Amino acid sequence: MSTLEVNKITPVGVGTSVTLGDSGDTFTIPSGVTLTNNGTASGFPGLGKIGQVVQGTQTGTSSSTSGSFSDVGLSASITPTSISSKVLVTVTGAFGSGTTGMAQFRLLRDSTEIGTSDASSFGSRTTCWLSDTPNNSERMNNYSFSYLDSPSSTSSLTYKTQWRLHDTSGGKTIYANRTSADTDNANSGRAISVITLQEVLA
Amino acid sequence: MDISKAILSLGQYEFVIYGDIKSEQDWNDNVKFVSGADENGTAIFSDTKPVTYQQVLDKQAELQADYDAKQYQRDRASEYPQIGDQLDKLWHSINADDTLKTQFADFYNTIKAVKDKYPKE
Repeated sequence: MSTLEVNKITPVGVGTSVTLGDSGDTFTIPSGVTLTNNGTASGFPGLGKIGQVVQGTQTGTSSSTSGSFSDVGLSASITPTSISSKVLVTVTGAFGSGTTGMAQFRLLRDSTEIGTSDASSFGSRTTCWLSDTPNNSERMNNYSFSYLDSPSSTSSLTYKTQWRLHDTSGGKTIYANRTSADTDNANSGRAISVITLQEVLA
Repeated sequence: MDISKAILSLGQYEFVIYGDIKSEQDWNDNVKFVSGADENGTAIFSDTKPVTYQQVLDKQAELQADYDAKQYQRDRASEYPQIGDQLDKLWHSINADDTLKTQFADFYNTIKAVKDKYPKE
């Protein structure tokens, strides 16, 4: 039994490879040891599978009368284990208005827009656009969208949704997780919004 | 009464609200007025508020009183016949009175022309 302490193992020739052991040998990674992959790894049965799963919920409400984007109040954070990992973002939420208000949603990783449309105007560059049932103050619409992000990072990342009111004239308000009437009875209940982050190993 | 309706009744403001506003602390912490936007369209929030919590409470009470005073309108609206049925009743009432036929000739004859065009089998 001997211990080999080196900082780097390099093949003898450029472009050649290094082989570890022979058929039937076992290499063990002890508990507490981290194996970090910043390149491309193939042949590992775990690749392509889901690593960690993180969920963020918004059980309260929020509202906006603004034509500028602001946080809905729905977010979740994840730290990918590998720079090659992808993050599958799934958002489901509930939206009410009752005054023909239309809401535009967009998805952000930290402060970067992701999964938005190919348009130059920020007002057009959205992920999802919803209109409420006209003049029905006791209804909500559900919305959902998903996006597979390639963040190329092993830092903590925060994914969140933002929204804006499409037309700010006429005293319109858009609501998350509640109706316009919000009378706290069976005719006008409340809902929750959920964002789920799944690390896809690659 | 929804607090956003009360604020909008005080002025055409742009704002966002997080959670239920049940105290002045909630008002201070969770109601944010928009003063502008950055190049990505993200709201920039003002450090100050153009209206006070008390002004909003007063407006809420005023709007609630007005809403409550109009309960009879909502009760009636839910039990009135459909507009078409109401107009049909009106036409038949006129049809039963020659004086009214003359008095409301335009309305009466317009409807009657359609009825005559498509008579009941």
